[in-house]
Amino acid sequence: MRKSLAPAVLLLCLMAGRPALAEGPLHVDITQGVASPLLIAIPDLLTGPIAGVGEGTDAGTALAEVVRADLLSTGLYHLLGVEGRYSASTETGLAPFARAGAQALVLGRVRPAGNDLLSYDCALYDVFGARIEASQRITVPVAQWRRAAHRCADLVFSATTGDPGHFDTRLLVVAQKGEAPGQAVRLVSMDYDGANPSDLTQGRELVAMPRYAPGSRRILYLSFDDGRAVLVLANLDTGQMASLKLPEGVPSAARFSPDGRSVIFSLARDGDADIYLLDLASGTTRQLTSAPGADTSPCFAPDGASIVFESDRSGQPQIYRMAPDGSDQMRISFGKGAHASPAWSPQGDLIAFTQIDGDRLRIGIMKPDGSKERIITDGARDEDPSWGVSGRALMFQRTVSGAALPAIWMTDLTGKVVRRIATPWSASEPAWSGKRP
Amino acid sequence: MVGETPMTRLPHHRLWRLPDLRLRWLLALGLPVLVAGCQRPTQSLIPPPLFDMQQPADAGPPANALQPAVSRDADHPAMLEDFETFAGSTRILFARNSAELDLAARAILDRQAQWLVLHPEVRASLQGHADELATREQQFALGERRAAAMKFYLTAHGVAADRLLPTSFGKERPAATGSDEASQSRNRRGETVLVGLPATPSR
Amino acid sequence: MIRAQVTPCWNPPSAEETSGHVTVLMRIRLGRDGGVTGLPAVSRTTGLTTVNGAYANALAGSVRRAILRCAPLKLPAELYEAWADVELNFDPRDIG
Repeated sequence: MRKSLAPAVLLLCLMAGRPALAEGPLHVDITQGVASPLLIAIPDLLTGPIAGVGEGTDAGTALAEVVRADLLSTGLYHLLGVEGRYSASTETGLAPFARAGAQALVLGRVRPAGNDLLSYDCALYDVFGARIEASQRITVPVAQWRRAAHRCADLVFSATTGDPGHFDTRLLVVAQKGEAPGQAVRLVSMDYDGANPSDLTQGRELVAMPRYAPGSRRILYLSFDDGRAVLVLANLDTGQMASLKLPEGVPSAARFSPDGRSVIFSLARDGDADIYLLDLASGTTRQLTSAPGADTSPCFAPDGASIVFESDRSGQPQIYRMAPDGSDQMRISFGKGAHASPAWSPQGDLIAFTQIDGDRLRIGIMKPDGSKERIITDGARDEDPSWGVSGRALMFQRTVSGAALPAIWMTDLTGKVVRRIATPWSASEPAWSGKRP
Repeated sequence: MVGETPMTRLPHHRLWRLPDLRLRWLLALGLPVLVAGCQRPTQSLIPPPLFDMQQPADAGPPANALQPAVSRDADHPAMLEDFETFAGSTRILFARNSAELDLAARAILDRQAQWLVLHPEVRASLQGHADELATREQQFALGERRAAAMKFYLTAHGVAADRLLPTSFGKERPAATGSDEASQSRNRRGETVLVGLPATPSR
Repeated sequence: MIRAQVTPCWNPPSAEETSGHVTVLMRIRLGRDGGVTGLPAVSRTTGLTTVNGAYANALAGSVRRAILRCAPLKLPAELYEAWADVELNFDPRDIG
């Protein structure tokens, strides 16, 4: 080693930026990478048809298609087309995938597991390391085969990003199935991708502003039964519903606290709307704001330590932050236009909001102190942002210019990966669940 | 399906154009009968549970008769007609982002107040609506501000406050959904909807 | 030279506020052809908190993939002894 000391020193300087004369490994700092989609291959599974899975296709194809669609919708993956079918049990070697450039590979096997159950072995391979990075046996009722695929996609997503996947989730929307606005309005629950819709109300009354509780087993919504706005709390497991007893006034914009024990909402009375907190166990309410004007859209930070809300006390709606007892109210939004409908991300690192600029509504995100504001959508009227549990995607309502009826769209945080959630009717006011129980 | 029953027509779809005044006479003469025969139908506040996270619900509408969705005024078409004819309109309009009552709105509310004073057994739901050009929550608050302004004005003109039920629909039930100004200006409105007569005329 | 070759192969998971500042130190042994002999092993992780374990795991996975994806590294054979044993410190601080 000593004999080539001079060139070696030169080389080490080039490589590591510092002379490394000491014994031991050569040290190299890598501080930059390429933020490009992960190249992933998800071939069809080597599996025969299973009754009730897919429509006219083989179960292995149907499941792989859902996994592919899930991952592709995030913009974080680039799919490599792979011919042929593979099964996790028939190890053909990873070399062909490596040659095709795949960094990751999802293989699996699906088969009936008796009692109308289906079992899906989902495995994520690190192609270069030739090892299984994550794997899971997922067993679901055959009728819920799409859930198995969503859970496999969640596994891949969390192993490659470190965040929980948002695929095995539900979406609450206000569906308008009638012709005229406000007619035949129903609360509908569906998979995050629009599959398996299910009516939660029968269209007798207008409903609005649905929200999931933490744990996604309970929901809140506003019902206009009898012409009056009533806050309804419903348990999705038991079907039990109750309208919440509140002080006199018109309630709206309700959300659960992170522990699920309280409901924070806006109550308007005599032209003044303020933020209130209701303790569900005791039924007591506490007024948190009292400024003149409209204080509304309250939302807790996921750690429960702060609340954001919107207020027009400055003349136009802006976003404010306060302590959970209502103290230390301070404005945090100072970007262009007005800011409203704040929603705190599940990880607590960002706040999504609706920006109002003239007649245009658009979705933006900013840090919880109001800095680094970024408008990410570009529709005519985009509103009602709702976070996915991954913290990397938002659902929102978009009313395309000229069209009368809104639809639900999903975007990543760059705003570059945007797609419409397919529903056979007009849908609005999305509320995205956390992980399904 | 819901839209086909006249019971659920929205207040702004006014279809009760009575050809003559006979019904108004009937209304005047037969009010006690009408009152006795028009108890509010009992219905549960909340629809029966249909919750299921796991499977889609049965397709198709429930076969039972649907109840009125929002207002009870269709139970009394004659009275509604009388109110509307007397007041000139059941609806007033507002300027954008405003809950101020302009001259035209005041003129209509003056007449509504007179009619309500003459019919002390009737209660009125004051329903504030807003255009679609701001967020849902803001417009909900604005709708309430409009309803509150209507209530304030009507009580100042002699209507007992406990007969007036201000509420907001925000932008949840637009009268028009076009993105043009003409459509949106129709949404900035306050509606006075007569609600069920008391079961026994007590006032 | 090593940095220039590894950087394009590293596709780290995007960090969030709660991810903190995690670095992964990976020690690898290279053959004369520049190929990685044996599996690269994480020798040290810094910046771990109670809430960023999943992110740190994903980061370590991205590091492992980067090394294997880039191999074999093209390095001057006459200096093999200098680069036979390399310690790569992956620090996502400059990633936008």
